[in-house]
Amino acid sequence: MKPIWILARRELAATFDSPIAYIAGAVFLVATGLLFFFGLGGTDDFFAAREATVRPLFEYAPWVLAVILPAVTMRLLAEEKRQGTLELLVTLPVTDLQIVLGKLLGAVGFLVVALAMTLVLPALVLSIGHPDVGAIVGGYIGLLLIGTTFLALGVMASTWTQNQIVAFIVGLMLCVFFWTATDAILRLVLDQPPPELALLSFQSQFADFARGVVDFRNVLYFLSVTTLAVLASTYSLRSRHWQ
Amino acid sequence: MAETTKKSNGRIDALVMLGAAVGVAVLVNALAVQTSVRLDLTEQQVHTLSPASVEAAKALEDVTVTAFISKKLPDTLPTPQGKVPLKGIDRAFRDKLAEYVRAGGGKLKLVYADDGTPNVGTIEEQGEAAKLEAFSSTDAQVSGNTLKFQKYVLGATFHYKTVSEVMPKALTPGFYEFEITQILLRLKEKYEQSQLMKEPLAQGKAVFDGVKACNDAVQKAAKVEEVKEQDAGLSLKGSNDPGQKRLNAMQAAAADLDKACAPVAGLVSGDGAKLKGKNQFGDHLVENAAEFDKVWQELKQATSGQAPAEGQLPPALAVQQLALLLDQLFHEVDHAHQTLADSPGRKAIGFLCGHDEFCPFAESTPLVDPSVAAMMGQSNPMVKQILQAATQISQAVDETNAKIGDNLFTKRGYSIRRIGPEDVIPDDVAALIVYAPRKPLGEFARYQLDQALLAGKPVVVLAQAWQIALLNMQAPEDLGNEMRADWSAMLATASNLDEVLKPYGVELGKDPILDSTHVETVRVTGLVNKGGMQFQTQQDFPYALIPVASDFDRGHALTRSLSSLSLPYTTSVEPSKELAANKAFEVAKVISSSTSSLKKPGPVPVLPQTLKKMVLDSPANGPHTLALAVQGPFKSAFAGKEIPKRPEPPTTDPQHPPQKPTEAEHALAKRTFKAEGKGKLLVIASNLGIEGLSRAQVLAGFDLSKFQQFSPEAIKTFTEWQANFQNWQIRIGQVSHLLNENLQFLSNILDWASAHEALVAIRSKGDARRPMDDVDPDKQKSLRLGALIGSPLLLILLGLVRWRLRLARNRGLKV
Amino acid sequence: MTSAAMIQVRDLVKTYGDKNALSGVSFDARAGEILGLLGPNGAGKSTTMKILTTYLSATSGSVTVDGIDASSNPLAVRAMLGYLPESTPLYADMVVYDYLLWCGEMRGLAKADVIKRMADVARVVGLENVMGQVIGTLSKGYKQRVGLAQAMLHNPKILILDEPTSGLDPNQIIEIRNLIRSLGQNHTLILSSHNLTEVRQICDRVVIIHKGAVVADGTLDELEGRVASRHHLIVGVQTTDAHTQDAVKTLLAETPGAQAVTFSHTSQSPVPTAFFDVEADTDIRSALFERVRTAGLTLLELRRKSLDLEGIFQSLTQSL
Repeated sequence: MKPIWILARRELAATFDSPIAYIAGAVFLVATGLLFFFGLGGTDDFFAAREATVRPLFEYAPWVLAVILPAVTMRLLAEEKRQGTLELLVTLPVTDLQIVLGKLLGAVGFLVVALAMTLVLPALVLSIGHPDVGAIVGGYIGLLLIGTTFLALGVMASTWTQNQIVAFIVGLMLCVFFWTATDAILRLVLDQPPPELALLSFQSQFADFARGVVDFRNVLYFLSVTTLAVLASTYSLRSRHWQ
Repeated sequence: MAETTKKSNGRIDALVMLGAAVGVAVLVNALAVQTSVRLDLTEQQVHTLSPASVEAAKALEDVTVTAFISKKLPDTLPTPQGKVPLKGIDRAFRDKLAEYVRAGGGKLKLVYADDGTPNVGTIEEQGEAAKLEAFSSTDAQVSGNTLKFQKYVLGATFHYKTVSEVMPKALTPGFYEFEITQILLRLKEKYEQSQLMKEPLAQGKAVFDGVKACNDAVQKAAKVEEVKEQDAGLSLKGSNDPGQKRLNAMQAAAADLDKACAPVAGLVSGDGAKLKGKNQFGDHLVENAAEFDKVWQELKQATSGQAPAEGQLPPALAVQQLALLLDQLFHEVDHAHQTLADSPGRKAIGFLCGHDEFCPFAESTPLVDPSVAAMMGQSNPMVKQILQAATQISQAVDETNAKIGDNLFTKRGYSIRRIGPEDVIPDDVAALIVYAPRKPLGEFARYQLDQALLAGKPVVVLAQAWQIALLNMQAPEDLGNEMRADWSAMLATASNLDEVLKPYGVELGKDPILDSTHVETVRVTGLVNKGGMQFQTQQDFPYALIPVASDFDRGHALTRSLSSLSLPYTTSVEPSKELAANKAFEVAKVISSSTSSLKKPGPVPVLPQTLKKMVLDSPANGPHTLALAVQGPFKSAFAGKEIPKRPEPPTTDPQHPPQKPTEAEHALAKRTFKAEGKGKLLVIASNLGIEGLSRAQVLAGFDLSKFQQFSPEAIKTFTEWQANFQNWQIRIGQVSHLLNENLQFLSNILDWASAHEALVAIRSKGDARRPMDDVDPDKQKSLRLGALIGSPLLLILLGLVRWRLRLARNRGLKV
Repeated sequence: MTSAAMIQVRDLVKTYGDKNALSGVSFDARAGEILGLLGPNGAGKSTTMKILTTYLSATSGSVTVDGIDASSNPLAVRAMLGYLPESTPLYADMVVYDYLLWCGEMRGLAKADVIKRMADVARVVGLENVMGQVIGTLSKGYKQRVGLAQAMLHNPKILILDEPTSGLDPNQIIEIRNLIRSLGQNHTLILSSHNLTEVRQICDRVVIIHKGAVVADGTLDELEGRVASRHHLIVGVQTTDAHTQDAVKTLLAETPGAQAVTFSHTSQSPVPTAFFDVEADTDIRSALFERVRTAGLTLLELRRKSLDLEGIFQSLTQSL
């Protein structure tokens, strides 16, 4: 456990030492803020709806996370590969799994900071009404889970290449695919996709959190995808042995 | 964690491991679908069954729930209100049903309709057979040369002993709990009541079965292949003619038909006669069955091939038309039977009518007795025309009201009953609603209200002290044409509700409550004269006469979940000093206006600009109470007074003369008079924007005697009627966008009134809205700017600080 | 093998696809020894080191470090190692201090211990003055020192340095070499190089790898002895035409002791000269001189061929 923590701490510090954290963070905050106040088409008006709710945040934030988080993870292993530092890293007395988990945990640190900065929105709503605080907590748990899953996918993409841009694009495609396009793409491939496959979409798995319900099945799903992505990343790192 | 670096086959091992991991993940997730560990973090446990629902699920032994869920539902369902998202709705429905099964602890059995077996048809067909409402989305398939829309079902049936209930269309997950719990509660009552009503139910079923057997036989025989309706009347001769074919077929089957249909007459005069008078649905059933028998007799005669009497249709055509009519009547009987079977345990809510209220029923009597109208029409063709037009308007009013009643109440599962000014409130009416009368209530109606309240039946009173006419035609003559165009007036109604309510300690104000800041915007429509042409103009205007209230008694089930209500033309309602001081009463100020509101003796100018100026110039004196709920030991307003006699109802239908008031009846009323009783009274000082449409209102000044002779006056009156009807439509249109929240409140009122207070809370869970305080535009801007710019700026500032700190620290680093 | 062998490498084979990078490399490194892995670029030195440090796995063969099999217990082996990969990859955006601290912590040392060790190591490698600097801004020599520092921070039994002096300027090279030599006093040290001089200066023993195989293994003296047992001479004779060249070649070949004579090349300036490579098993320089002189020719050049790496490989691969 300890090496994971030490690794994560370094990654987090490295993220916040580089401008990318601030650019990604600021873009995330501005984008979620705009979507929160004006909606996707820019036509909604949060104040006109007259409802004390943070729901729009949970509706739109995953979209923004799906785009921003791959930019945070793209560097994690691709850059180590390109610089050659990976060789030093993996010959430290740590396992490949610990490395992947450490990197992921560091990125989760960024996610937590970014989400914490959005607390200004619930605070605003609390100041002008009585929103359902429980539902807000549920939504944030969901955002944390879905964000972690996005990060795991991003880390996985980052292990596949030594080019950050490629890692970003692949990560972005994975996240967007899982977040929303599952249905559409399945429909391209299959005439009548079985409804069970619709459950693959993060959107359907996230819906309950946004309502304030933490359902074991949804948690399990996100943890499963995260675990699989972590495993795939580990094997991708290990693949140097058999190339 | 030891890491093994494989020397060979590492790739394959890794792929196998990863594949296995995916397999395990899929398996675990698939297994987890069955689980139901969930944490409802919402404050009111919105997504968890309420105790009332759990209790309802446990209350009944052995309920079978059959769920009909189409295999693949569309993502959205187009409706006139926009697209309704259906994604994941089947899962939500399954989850909710499963939750009830768990809550019921084995008493509820859940089965899913399956389309595995070929005999029973698809899920959709089974669902429709079980009286579910199928719906279709925009997905259509071309079959043959027609476009076939794919049908879907999502709903369930609930069976308990001999009774059942249907949840026909489960498209709003927010209301699942409300609907299911309501069904469970109703099943229980229905069963208990049906035990008491065994006999009428059996009689109704016997009549229905007889009619059905006859109709089935007739329709089977009358079914001729490739019958085209338009052909039937054209060529009657020749064996190729389908009409003739049908006639032949029916003649051949005459004996069988007679056997099947002969019992109907006996059933109508036997079981039917016994059933009659016990219940309105039974009456309806028997009437239709009798008519059915009559048509059957005619059909029998036509089939026997007797030469058509003069003026009558040729037999082939007559048979066809009679067979169709027979089928039509059968459907009436079927519907009546269903309603009868459904009636036990259904508590009705009475709407007081006849005082120009919001009364969601067609009038019980025609505007003019047809025979009188015919007589008058003969004398003068102009009068005849005007009478016809008036009748048309009257019919349109009736239709509109019936439709409102159907959509607003019947379809939402409420059973409503019209209570006329001469009616005694029947026992099965569980609550009384007096919805914004604009004419004074008579003594007898007041007495009925009084006794209903004292009997513990919840009484809801909505008041309407004012009404606004926004169109011309009602303007005084001395106004110029231009002015008349968009003249509007605020008129006091003739309601005497303030007097009616006074004895119960409720003081209903007459002064309108205005609000300059908490208002809804209304689109004002008016006709403008320009250069001799009339134009319709529209402008948005913040209407001070429709204050928005968001200050609610959150402890009250009625208003717990509401965010805001728009209350057009509201006045105030306050408890009297005695009532407020009386500890025996529970008085809740359910709705209050804002502090910026203003009580101003009416009428006030309603021209937008003038009104605005007036409101801004007057000092606010709010808040005022706009709705009051009182519960406690009321005393009768008729204590020590003469009990009013039931007035004689008007006779308009000589065939069904109404029961005349008798001395015996009055004597009984005196004996059963209650002078005191625990009651529930809810008074709302607005009509919630739902203005009553009534014949009296629209056809103001309708007087047959005026039409004895034709006069230009009559034409003018007629155009006024038209304007009245138009006015109503416009007014409703103007406030319709405010009505959603108000209708939710109305639903809450009805639930509260039907004594299912638990349901009020459950229903309101569905769309628990949370109000936002009023934020003026400047504050909105600064809040928005703060959130949008503030947080990223803070992040970047933190970054800069961190950078400076790091530089300073690094400079000092030494070992 | 003797129990003193700290590292045993046996029959290492590594293939990348169908390309053989290593085809059966075996050698030992004894405790406290500085072992040089010598070979030209692409010979397989780095691959061998990557397998030693468990960065890569061998296709077959084994590596045992202090009795522990590297493929079955890589973490234990990694814990004993300090590694400086080729071209010294470092996190460029970190400060030296933080980087070393992180490395120490990653190796399981307590923070206080790391700080103590860091002071020692920084003194040894000469980093005291740059601890607060961002690694990316350091000169190549300092980066190399940082790399060395992280490798020795945890006082490992074994140090593996891949081309530790490549890319440095001569002064830096001297400093780093001195540093490595001092490290060798209490570590087992394996370093790779393609520079013979460097190896001669630092290493106790040399393993020469060529085309994925060990071509020589021994102390430098032993190797040089083996190479020295053959005598390569370069003879330059003034000639004017091709005819004379052939004559000279015959003349040289007939010298007693000469084994192989090959014509190398001619040079026209300052005077026309023909060069020949002569191999012999004894020193025949005086005999050659005599013969050329008596033949009336002018001997312009007579020297032993220098012992550069290529020469050694050439000679070794020919002799083996």
